[in-house]
Amino acid sequence: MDLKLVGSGEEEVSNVVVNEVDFNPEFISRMIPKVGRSEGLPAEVIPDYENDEEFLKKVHHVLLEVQVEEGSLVCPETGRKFPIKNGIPNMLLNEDEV
Amino acid sequence: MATSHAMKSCATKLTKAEKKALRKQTKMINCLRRNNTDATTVSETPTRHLMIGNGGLMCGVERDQIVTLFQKFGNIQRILMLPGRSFSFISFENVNESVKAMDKIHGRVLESPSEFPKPETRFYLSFLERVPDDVSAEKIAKPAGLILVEDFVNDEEEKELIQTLGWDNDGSDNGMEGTGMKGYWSKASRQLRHRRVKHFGYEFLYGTNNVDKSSPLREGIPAMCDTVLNRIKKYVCFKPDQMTVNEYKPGQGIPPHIDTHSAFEDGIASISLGSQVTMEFRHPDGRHVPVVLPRRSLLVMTGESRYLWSHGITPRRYDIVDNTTARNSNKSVCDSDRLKEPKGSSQESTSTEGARAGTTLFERQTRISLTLRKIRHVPCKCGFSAQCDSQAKNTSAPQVPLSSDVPKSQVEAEKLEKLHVHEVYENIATHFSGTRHSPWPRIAKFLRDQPAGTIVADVGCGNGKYLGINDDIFKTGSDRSFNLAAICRERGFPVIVCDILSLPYRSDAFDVSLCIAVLHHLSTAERRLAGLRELVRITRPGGLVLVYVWALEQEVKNVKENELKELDFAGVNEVNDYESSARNGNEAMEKLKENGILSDSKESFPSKSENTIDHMKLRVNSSRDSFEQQDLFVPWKYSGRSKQQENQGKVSPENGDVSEGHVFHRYYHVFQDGELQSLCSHLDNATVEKHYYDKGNWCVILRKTQ
Repeated sequence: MDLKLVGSGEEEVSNVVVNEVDFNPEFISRMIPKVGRSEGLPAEVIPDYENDEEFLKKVHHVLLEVQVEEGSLVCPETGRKFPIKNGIPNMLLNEDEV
Repeated sequence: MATSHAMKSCATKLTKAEKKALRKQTKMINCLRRNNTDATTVSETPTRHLMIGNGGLMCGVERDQIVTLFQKFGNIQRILMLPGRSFSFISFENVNESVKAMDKIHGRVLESPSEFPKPETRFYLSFLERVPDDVSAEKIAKPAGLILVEDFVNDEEEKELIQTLGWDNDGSDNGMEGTGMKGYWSKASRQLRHRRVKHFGYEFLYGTNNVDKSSPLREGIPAMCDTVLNRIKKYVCFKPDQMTVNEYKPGQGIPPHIDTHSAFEDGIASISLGSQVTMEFRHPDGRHVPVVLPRRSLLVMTGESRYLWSHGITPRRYDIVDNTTARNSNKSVCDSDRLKEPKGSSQESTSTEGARAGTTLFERQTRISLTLRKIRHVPCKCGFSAQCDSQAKNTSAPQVPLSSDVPKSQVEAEKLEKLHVHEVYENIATHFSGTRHSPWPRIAKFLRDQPAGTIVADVGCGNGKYLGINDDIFKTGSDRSFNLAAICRERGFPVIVCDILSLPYRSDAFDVSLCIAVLHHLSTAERRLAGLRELVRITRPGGLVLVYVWALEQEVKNVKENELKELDFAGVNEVNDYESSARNGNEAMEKLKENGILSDSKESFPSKSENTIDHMKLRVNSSRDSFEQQDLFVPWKYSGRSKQQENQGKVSPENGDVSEGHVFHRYYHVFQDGELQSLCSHLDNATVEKHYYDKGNWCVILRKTQ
């Protein structure tokens, strides 16, 4: 089950920072088949993406440069929220959840 | 008498001295090869560059002595002395000059003192193709918030302050006779193991590393310091109300520490009198910046440099300093940016002056430091919660293990791990990280060998020392400790907080899963197997799982000392070069014995007939080089964060609680030979591809089959 990313409060926008990372097209090309489909990425992978620099740059941006500082990851099935603080998701479960 | 040039054939008859010189030369060259992977090559034929074996900083040789000895042979272009090396390098203008030096100096006992001060000195020389670059010139940026003001007090003030505040050679306090202060000093003045110290305004209590804010000392800071205090206000925005005077004789130091956040305000001032010294600053991520504190200077630590970086003085007689900056003391205000100015040590100057500039040794004199602080009356709200005792969630972690049994149920196991694994790491995170700088070579190689594009999970990544290896693969870390995760995050690595028994990753998501020194913290066989199952689950079919656990079998005699250090065996875990590292572990043990927590060695080594029963009890491991049973507590002698470990002096009766909070006990299940493979045999979707022993660990590489 893929978790959904939300802001830190109901109305709040999550605190997102962008840190520039050197673009490495080969590295990103290799990552694409391994990435699950999630928000910010197209539903279908375009054909011949290895040679589509614009596409690779977008993926690079989303995968490596966008970092959520404050917010939550939410399980769409149970609604359980996992808080993200200082850029670190806390995925610990309570005793009764294990 | 000319000795043979480097590496020349020794087929002809050699005298005894010549043979020795050749042997030493070979040894030095091997030493050079070991220390320089790529930088230098020995030349078979004469060149203008020479390596001077035994002429390095490690041998106590100073740059000026090299200059004096060698300048008569010609124009010295450059001298390179690297920290921690027993050899140095010298480059002449031309080959004739270096050949002259070789003939006159190599292997010969130097005249003392006309040629060299130390009697019976011999240098062993070799020609080199080239001289390595000065790596020491690559300075790491200084701690943020650090201010250094040179010439803060003048000569007269310095003299007056030392006379009034210092000690006589017989150990008694100077001055202030008949002022009634003598009695007060005898209370607030202490001889610590490494230095003498006294306090004004408030007494600093080494047992708690704090001050008793409710009971200021009768006398405050002496009025004669007022002008100095007023000048400090310019840098710290308040007038300090607590002063600690320390006397450091050459060879004395203070262990790395961060002043307790809750005790003092932001802005800690320190005036150096009598001698310059090098203070070492260390960041939790491993960065290390030596800062020279000139005589009569003021150092002010604010912000990050006060709250996050530890500072300390290595106990030694000489400091390695860059004499191009040490000499420069005219500027009155030295912004900390100046500290990272490029140094002149690698410049190619033809003048002798140029050759004299660079790294050399500074012989320490007796230094009196005045540390001026302001007592904090409200909790600290700094942005460095991992280092902050005011913000610590649980400051009173158990210092001694409860008398525990090997857990028999899930609930017991969870309780044990919470208390003796999770909470311990949360508390020692910064100090722990400070002792974990270098990746183990075999694990690093494993990561480097992975093909580009590999996706790696490092489960239990600690301070992230494996997350930075191999830029062509993607690594993501996880740890149970928030504070360790925060350190990874600070270093720019992706990290989450989670538990190995319920990893929040998709099944088959990773090409490689790494799990280094984690499974031995799980306290039942079922839980250790469950951990393994999780690692295999998140790994794709065909992917690899690398697991390291501590081994019961410790081949101490075959293990190099530094490897033992990495293992932080039984509390031997002090940061790098501090002299008392070994002793601290022992002291921790001694204290436990004193408190009756640790039984005498006779009792803690159960006889064979008692074995079966005793192994059900968890004990504190008391040996420093072997494990006495498989389930045990390993003490961690804590130093750093708010806990200054200044209490290394004798434990005085009124300070009986000195060990409070200083020794943590981590639970371990150390694996027997074969146990890890046996555990792996329960996995039906992974096979052991390789198992081996590495630095006191049992290791397996698993391949997921389906």
